[in-house]
Amino acid sequence: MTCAHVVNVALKKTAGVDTVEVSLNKGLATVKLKPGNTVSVPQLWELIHQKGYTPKATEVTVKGELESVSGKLQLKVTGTKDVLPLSADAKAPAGFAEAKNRVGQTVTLQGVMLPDKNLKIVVPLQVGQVKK
Amino acid sequence: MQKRLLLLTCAAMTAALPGRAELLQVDLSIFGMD
Repeated sequence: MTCAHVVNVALKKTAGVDTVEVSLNKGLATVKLKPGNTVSVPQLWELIHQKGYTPKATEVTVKGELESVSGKLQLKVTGTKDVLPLSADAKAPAGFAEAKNRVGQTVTLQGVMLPDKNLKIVVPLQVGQVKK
Repeated sequence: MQKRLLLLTCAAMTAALPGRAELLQVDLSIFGMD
């Protein structure tokens, strides 16, 4: 059994995961999720770590409601206490600026999350772009 | 009657909720995978 297969099977078993594609050349696993899922990125990182691998920079597409609390921008999970803190991507600051202008709206964001040493810690999403 | 009112209230509350934040797609870079 290849390493890629082990990761593929583990991710597919996760509730809310729709499809998984693993690229060996790129060292990349693309995970598409089902509508209404409650999967979190740290949850996927933890899973990969449990299989003996190290998760790195993760590109994330996420939908939610933008809100500003004490001047800090975040994406809110309606009906729960879950929030995803947002920060600017140094390479694409326009995305974060647009997000700030759309507080109160439900949007789809694309950005990057970098895992902390403690994989369970929720790290900020560096906003690259706000999708239409 | 009370039960019906409760059901109607729940249905109205659910319909009024805006879309949940949810992950749509994740591209995970994984070190050491071969």
